[in-house]
Amino acid sequence: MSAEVDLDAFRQEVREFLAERLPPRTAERALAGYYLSRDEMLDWHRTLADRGWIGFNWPEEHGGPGWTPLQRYVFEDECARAGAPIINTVGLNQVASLLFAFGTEEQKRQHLPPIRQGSVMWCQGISETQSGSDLASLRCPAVRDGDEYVVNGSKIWTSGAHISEWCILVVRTDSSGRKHDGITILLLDMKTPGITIRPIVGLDGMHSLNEMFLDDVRVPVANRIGEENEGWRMMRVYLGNERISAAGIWKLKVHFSRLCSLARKEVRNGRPLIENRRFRDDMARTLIRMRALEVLLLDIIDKPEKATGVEASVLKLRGTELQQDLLRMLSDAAGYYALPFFPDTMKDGWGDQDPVGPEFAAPSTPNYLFWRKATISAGSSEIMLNLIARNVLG
Amino acid sequence: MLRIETTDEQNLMVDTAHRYLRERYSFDARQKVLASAAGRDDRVWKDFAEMGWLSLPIPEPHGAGGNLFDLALLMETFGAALVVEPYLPTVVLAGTALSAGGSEAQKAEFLPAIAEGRARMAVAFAERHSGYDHFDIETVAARDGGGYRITGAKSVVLGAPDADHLVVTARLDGRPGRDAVALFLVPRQCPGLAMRDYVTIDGRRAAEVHLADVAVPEAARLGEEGGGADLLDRVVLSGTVAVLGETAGLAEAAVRLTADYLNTREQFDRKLSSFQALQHRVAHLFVLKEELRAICRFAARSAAVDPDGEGTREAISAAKALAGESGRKICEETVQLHGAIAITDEYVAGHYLKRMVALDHLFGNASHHFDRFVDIVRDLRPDGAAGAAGS
Repeated sequence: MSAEVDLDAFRQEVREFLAERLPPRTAERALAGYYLSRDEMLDWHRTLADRGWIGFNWPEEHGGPGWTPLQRYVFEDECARAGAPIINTVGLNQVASLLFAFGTEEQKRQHLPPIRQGSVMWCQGISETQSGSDLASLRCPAVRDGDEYVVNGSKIWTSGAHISEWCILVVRTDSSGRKHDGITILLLDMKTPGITIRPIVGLDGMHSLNEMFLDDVRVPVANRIGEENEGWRMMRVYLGNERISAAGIWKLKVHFSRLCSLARKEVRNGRPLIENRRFRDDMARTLIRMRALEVLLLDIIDKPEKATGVEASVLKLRGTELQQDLLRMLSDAAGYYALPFFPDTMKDGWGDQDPVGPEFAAPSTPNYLFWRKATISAGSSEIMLNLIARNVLG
Repeated sequence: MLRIETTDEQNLMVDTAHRYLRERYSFDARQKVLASAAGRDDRVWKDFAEMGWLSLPIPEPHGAGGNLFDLALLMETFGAALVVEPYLPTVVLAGTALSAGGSEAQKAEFLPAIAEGRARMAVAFAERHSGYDHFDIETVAARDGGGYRITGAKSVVLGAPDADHLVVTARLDGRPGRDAVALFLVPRQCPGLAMRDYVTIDGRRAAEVHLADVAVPEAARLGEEGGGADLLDRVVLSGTVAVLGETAGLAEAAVRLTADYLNTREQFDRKLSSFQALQHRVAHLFVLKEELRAICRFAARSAAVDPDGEGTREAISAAKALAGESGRKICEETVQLHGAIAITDEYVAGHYLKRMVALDHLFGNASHHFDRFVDIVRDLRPDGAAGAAGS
């Protein structure tokens, strides 16, 4: 495999693939900011899997495409511009990285192919009501009983638990020593008896978050990743990997592009919004920061130690702030039409109905509200600042 | 005069309101109101009437004759409790339109009904392409015999779904200019009037209102021909003051909630309030809130004393600009400092932010008012004399 890849040719190849295989309707909906259905996302996942363009970090022998980091970057860039769905990556990224690093052959055999194919969805059972940023303080107890663990506890903020087949469940198997030393990672089959899921309605009026209650849930020891009580070490790898994708560079470009197009159409006080100096200044400032962020990203993209180091924290912090700035602008652009609340349109658009106000308005404020969570989840901004400070101050 | 003092009477009103709302309009009670089909609590509305709050800004003899500063103080308590009841459309907007523009007969018919809680009304002043300029009106009121026929489409009319009557802005015969602006009192059950109602992001009820050749008599026009622009300015002023009051009260409550949370929540084996970084952040929120409340009260007082003065126009825009910017910042920080729990509808923190988004847009957002302020203030004009006396 040549170390020098013709990126322009590759970009062209990706564009052709997208033009051929990305359903226009899905792309339109994604670019307009609507929430895609599980089917839309899974269909796209399968399309990618068929082409072999999935599992970017995966070793080639497990089906990874063997791309350089820059190829991956180009691919994600083109996909975002074209409106390709952002597929569920818990399985592809987080679970897979755990399995590659710490999983048994049997676990890899069982889980990697369905993850790669997109035939299962994964959720994360990590946070608890009293353990947010202080993740290591988690309590959910798992007691060994023969060749099973018996779990009795609860988890919260589990996105997609209600539609997932499997769950990464982080439990406590030892409370006697330091909190970091008693954590174990289990793979939980969501069909296991004893699991109750309570939906949590978000600020966008939608249901994606959940609380999960586990009553005498039995998990085979064979579903444990790595050794008992070694979970924290593994979690640090797991969490570190999330940061760059949580920065959402590609989302920024999509949001910005949408903002540009509607700023030309929406009229405020007789002039298109793009001519409003204040609005345009805000857009300019954001665009400048996006460029800086992209340069930072490209600098670390092929340096694995930086991908989990302070640079990743900077990217996550800034990237999520910029996401929020753009979503705020998209909401503000709606003017009075930021007020009407039509939750159904967030999934399906207006369909045959006449829109209330400009079409972009209906999802824009709910999106802005829900994504206040970007600076909270996957490592809050405060945690990022701690990590950065530690690095700066030594 | 920048010094603002509240009277004993005002303090009593505010204390009573806070106490009532704490008991009767807790977050749980409010959640029930939000979930109800009507989106309001009629018993609460009766209580409001009995407390005299529905008659507060309505002039004597039909109401208590309170001024815009009194109104702002009461609205602070409503903002703190995130009251959903349609006080703004019925009492403030329609109440002002009728008391400042209604005939004696209309005042006698409607103002007591508003004050006693028997009437529900709404004012339709925004349109699809008007942005925040309430004079950008495409709705036409065409002269037709002794009356008018009104045709047009109104946007985001708060309180419309429940209203028995709507006050609608239109241009006489579609003519441009201030003297062609008019306000009309239109019964809800009027041929040609259609509504598409919905819930707002902050749990209130509003509608898109369509008028197709809605016939109204001459008497439906509020005030004299040519007087509509001044009347509309007065309605918007009272609405803006109400929104400023609500914002100041909401900001206060959000900061209080955040401080309490930081004092309660523990992570890393210590209270969040023990982290200096967070102490400074909540202190900063306090500063923003104090600043905000000061400037909102100043604007309200100015409006009470001199509603038509340029000083008031300046004060209102200053306050609305800061209210939007600081109010938003306070509410976003409130969410951030609470963490994931604030991303759910189940907890109050996110609801402050939702209400703040709505309050920012009503009567012009921060950006709009920064622009207006820059235009009004002589010192900021390129051609203004430096340090001009009496400016």
